Amino acid sequence: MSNFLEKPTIRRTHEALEAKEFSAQELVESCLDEIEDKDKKINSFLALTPKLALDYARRVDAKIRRKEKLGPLEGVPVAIKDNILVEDYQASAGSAMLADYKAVYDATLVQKIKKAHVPVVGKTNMDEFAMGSSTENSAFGSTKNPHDLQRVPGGSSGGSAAAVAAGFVPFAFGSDTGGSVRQPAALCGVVGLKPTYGTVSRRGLIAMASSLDVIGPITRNVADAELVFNAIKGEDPKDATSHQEVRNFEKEKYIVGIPKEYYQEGLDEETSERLELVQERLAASSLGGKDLEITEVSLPHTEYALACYYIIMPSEVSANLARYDGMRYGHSKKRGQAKEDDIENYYKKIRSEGFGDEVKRRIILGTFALSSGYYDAYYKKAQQVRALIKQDFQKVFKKVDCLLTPTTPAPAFKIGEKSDPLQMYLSDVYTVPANLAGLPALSVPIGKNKKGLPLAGQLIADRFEEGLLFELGKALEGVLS
Amino acid sequence: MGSDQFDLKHIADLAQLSLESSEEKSLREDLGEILAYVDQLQKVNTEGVKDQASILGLFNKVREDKKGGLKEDVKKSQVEKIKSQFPQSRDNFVEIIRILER
Repeated sequence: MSNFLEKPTIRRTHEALEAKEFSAQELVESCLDEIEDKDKKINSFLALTPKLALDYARRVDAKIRRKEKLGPLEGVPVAIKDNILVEDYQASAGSAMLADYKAVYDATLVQKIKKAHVPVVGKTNMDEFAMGSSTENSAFGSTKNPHDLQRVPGGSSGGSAAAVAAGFVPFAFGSDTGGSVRQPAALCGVVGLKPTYGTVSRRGLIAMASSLDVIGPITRNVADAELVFNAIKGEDPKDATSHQEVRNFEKEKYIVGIPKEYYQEGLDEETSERLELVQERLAASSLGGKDLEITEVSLPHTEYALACYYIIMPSEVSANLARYDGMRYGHSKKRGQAKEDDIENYYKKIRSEGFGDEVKRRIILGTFALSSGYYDAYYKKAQQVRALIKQDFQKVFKKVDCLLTPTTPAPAFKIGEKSDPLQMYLSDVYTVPANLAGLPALSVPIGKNKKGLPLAGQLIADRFEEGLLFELGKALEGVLS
Repeated sequence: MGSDQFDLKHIADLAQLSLESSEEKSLREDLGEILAYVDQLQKVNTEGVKDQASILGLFNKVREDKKGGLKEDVKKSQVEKIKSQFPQSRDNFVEIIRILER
C-alpha cells in the first residue's frame, strides 16, 4: 500500500477513502502490486484474489460516488488465513492434502465481511492444518518475519501476521487453537485477538481441535482489533458452538493481576524487564478517570496447561482429520491410478501422502490418547486438569479484572532453530491456558529488544469481556507511546 | 510412559496411516519425548474433579425442526461445485472402492 499510505491502520485507511485521497479500487490495485513485488521475500500469501478484491472495491467506489457514508471496514483490504473458506478460491490449510481444493461456500466470517464490503486480497500461508508455531510446517514453504528475514513470523497464522507487519494489508484474519493468532502477532510486532470461545462463528473454518478453535483478527493497533471484533462477533445458527453473552465491565477501579507462574524461569530477560516497566507505568496511570491497580496473583495449575493441551488438542485432531479419506475431495487417486483395490490400503496411501510430519505426529498421539486402555490415563485425566485450569481463572477473576502476562517466552527465533517438536510446542506455553479455559486474550506489542525484534504482552480477561481487553489494551499502548 | 511401551503399528493402523521405517524411528523418538512431558499430568490430584468436555457448558443446541431445514440454503451451483471435486463419480454419485465382497 506504499503508493498511498505507509502501514496504515484501518481507521486511517477509512478516513483516506472518505476524504477521497484515493479510490478503493486504486487502493486495492496498489495493495496487490506491492504484494506481487515484495512478498517474494516474505511468502506471506499462498494465493491472491484480485478479481474478488476489485469487485468489492468497485462497489465501495460506487457508494462513495453516491455520497453514501462508509462503514468502518468498507473498502479496507484484508488477508485471510488459508484455512477459512472463501467460495471459489483455494483453501489448502497449508497442506498438500488440500492443495487443489476449492471452497464451495463462504465461511460465516467471510459472508459478514463481504456484506461489509471488505475487499479480500488473498489467502495467507500457515502451518499445515494450523499445527505449528513458525509456519515452517506449511507444505508450501515457510513465511519469513518482516523484521528479520532469517527468522520465523510465528504460527500458525504466520502469513496473516507477516502480511500485516509488512504493511501489505491493514488487517488479516487468523485462527487460534493454542496461540496461533497471538503468538505470530507477538513475533511480528502487531496486535492479535483471540476472542472468547464461541463469540465468532467457526462455520467455514477448517477444523483442527473443536473445543479450542476460534477465529481472530490481526491488526496494527488495539482500536482496530475492536472495530473488527465488533464486525465479526455474533451467534450463528449454523455453528452449534456459537454463543453470546453481554457483560457490563464498568468498574469502580481496574485491577490488573500479574500471575506469578507466567514470570518464572524460561522467560526472556528483555521481555520480563519490558513488562515490569509496563506494570509500573500502568499502576501510575488511570483508565477513564478510574484508578488502575496492579496486584500479584497465582494460577497454580498453569504449569500443567501445556501438557493438558498436548493431550486434548491431538485427540480432537485425530477425530477431525479422519475426514480426509481421498473419497470426496482433496488429495485422491482415480481408481485406475491407485493399485490398491483394498479400501484400507487406499486410505493409508492417501493419508500418508497428503499429511506432513507434524500432522501425522499429532494424529498418532491423539489416536493413542483415545485408544482403549489409555483413555482414562490420558484423555480423561487431561479433561479433569482442564477443569482445574478453568477453576483457577474463575477464582482469580473474582479478585482482578484482567491479567497481564508475556505472550511468548522469547521473541522470534531463527528458521530451522527448533527442529525438536517439544521445543516448538513450548513457544505456546503462555497462550494455551486461555484456549483451555475459553477466555478472550489480546497480544499487544510492548516495544523491541536490542536486536530490533518485537516483544509483546498478553492481556487475558474473563469470558465475554473483550470490551475490558480493548480498554486495557489501549491503556497499555498509551503508557508506552 | 515411553513410546516403546505402545504398539505404534497398531495405533498407525487405527489412524489409517502407513509409516515408512525411517518415519517410524523418528516418530517413536518424538512421541517418547512428548509422552514423557505430558506424563507430568499424573502428578495432579484430580480426585472428584468432573472432566471438562465443553468449556461453555452448552448442551446439544439444535436447529428448529422444520421442513427443508438447512437444505434450503444450498444452491444448485454449490452442488455442482461439490461434485466437481469428487475424484471419480458416476451420474450423481461419488464412486468409491468396493467395500463389500461380491
